[in-house]
Amino acid sequence: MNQSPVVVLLDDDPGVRRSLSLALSLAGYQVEAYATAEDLLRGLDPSQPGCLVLDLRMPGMDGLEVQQALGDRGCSLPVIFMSAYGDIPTTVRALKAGAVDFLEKPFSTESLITRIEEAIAIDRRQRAQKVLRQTIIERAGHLTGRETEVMQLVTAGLSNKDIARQLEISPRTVEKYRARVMEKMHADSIADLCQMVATSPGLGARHPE
Amino acid sequence: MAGGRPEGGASGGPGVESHKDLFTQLCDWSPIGYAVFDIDGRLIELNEAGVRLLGGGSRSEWVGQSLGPLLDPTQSERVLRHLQEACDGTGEAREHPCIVNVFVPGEQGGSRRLQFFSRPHPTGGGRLCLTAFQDISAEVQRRESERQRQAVLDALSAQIAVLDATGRIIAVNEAWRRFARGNGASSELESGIGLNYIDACCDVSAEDPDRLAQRSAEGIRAVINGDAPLFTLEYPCHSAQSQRWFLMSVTPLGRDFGGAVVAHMDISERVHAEQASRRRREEVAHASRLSSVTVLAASLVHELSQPLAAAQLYSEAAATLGRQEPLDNAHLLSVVGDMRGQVDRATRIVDQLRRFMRRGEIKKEPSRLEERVLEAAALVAPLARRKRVRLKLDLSSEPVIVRVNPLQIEQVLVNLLCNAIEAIELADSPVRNIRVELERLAEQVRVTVADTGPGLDPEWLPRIFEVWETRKESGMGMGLAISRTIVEAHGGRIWVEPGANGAVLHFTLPLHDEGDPA
Repeated sequence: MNQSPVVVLLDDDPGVRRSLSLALSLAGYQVEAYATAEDLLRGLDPSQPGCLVLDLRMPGMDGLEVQQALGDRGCSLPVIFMSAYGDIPTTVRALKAGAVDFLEKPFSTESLITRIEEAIAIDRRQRAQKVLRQTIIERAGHLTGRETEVMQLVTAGLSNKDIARQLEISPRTVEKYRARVMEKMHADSIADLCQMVATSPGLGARHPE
Repeated sequence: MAGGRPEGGASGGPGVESHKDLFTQLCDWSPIGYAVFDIDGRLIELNEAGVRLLGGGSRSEWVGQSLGPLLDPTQSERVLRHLQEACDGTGEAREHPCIVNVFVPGEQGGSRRLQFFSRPHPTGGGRLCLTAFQDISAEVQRRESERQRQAVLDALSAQIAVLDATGRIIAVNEAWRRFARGNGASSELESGIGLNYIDACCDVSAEDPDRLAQRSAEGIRAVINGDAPLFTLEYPCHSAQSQRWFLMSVTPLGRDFGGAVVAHMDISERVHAEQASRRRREEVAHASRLSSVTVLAASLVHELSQPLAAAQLYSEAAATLGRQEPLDNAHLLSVVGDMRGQVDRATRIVDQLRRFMRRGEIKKEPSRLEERVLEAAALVAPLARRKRVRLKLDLSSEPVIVRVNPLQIEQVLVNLLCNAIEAIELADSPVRNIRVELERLAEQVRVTVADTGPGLDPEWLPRIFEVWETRKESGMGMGLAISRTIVEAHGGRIWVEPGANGAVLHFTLPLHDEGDPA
């Protein structure tokens, strides 16, 4: 989380690669430039934050295939594609595969930076959510079976009374469980708790009949 | 009249008597038949010519005979009625001769046509008539053939005028009259007969920038004078409604008469067809160039966008560096140099494309063939790279000079290379090479373009160089037709090597003789 973001470049054209590296370095980015898809896949550390700027059409493995290969390895770095002209089918395929944006060459440094900022923000958000999800799952792991049941029913919107009836315990007992769930999950409010459950699939409430 | 003495004939002295004999002789020499018929159609008197005209024999045999046996019943009746009317002077016979035409058997099984002129015999008492008759077969035939000629002329769609030796119009056909009517000519101009065609041409010469009328006049005169066997001239004659062209042809009428036949033929359809096909050819040539360009365009756009993208990024980097304190001049200059390098790269690409696309005829010049190959290879290199096809150029070490239009030869090479790349790509061939080879022969050079694609379909082979043959949607087949046109226009030949692995195309170009003027 504390690592500074890296912009990873892939372009087989030396002129484009060098000028991009220079422009982005001058704008203050840490740049990692690759000439071939193979080099990139070998050299990339998926855990480092940042984004990818890929040339869409290249001899050998093209940008789309790189995107695919990275996805297969569980790397979710946002991708910005550069292309001379993106034909519609290719564009659709790339966007479906999670590309953040397309830039048609030539483009200004500024427009690239705008997109890189967006991509880095997305990456940061994704990473934060990932961390948050892990925390939530970890906390939920400390809940007892009954506490988990109560949490699921509460976040499904049932009142204490309804929960008591369903679990065949007293409303007062429900209240006690509920307080303990809030504490263990570090939730400030019911809304907070609902959000945690929503962002962490697997904790979701089973729907009461 | 020989053998008879007309009753009540003039009597007088021996002088008169001798005149009579002379007239009798004259009658016998005459080509015209003279006869006396009675009211029953029997011959009373007949001269020698008459005997001949009726088919020969002796005069005495004819006397007392009617013409009946010579004639078919209808004609026989007509002749008898004619003679009767002449005898009794009824009808108009008293004032005017009665005229009747009959056919009588002639020589060689044919028939001759006789015309009878008859008047009452002055002293025949209404029972005799005087008849002169002549053979009009030739005249009838002449008129008949005249009518036929006119019918033939009228049947022709060309506008025809027959001119005499002075250039005066002596006959025109229906098409001529129709055309004159259509153009609002007056009735005397409509036939034009009597007008002098040559003079008419000379009259309009004033307002004729192409001297068409003057040239026509000269042409007609030349044909009439026997200086030329034929004169033709194609000329436009557009009306408000349509664009029309005519072909004027002038041929001699025949030596005996002098004169000429002038025919104007509407060739608009042919000219339109020619124009359409010329346009078509140009379109095909252009389309072929464009289709090659279309194929190349994608990679050229890519190719151009690279240096442009780099140049833009360098320029922005330069601006950033320029604002930095302290100013790093050396770095800034190196970035500007890089930028310049990218701009040069873009310019080269645009130059190549522009040269390739430029239309219009450029004249042939001595040119190094290996340079043409390199230019063409450079043009298709991006496409080849993208399709992972290797171009192997096997060029001769010494220069091969050909006298060509360099761009057209590059176009041929680009066509062949693009075809080869496409073939390899479509077949997804595992080995992806194209070999270009120059081989110097005695007086020519042979260029070979061989690919490792699937080769050419033998069925397709015979038509490979035809204009509309194509096996691909890209329309590359058209490129082959253009290639052939270009190669042949340079005195070379293009062909496919049969039975080769992959497609192997050869073409030849004559070597430039160093002694030739450039």
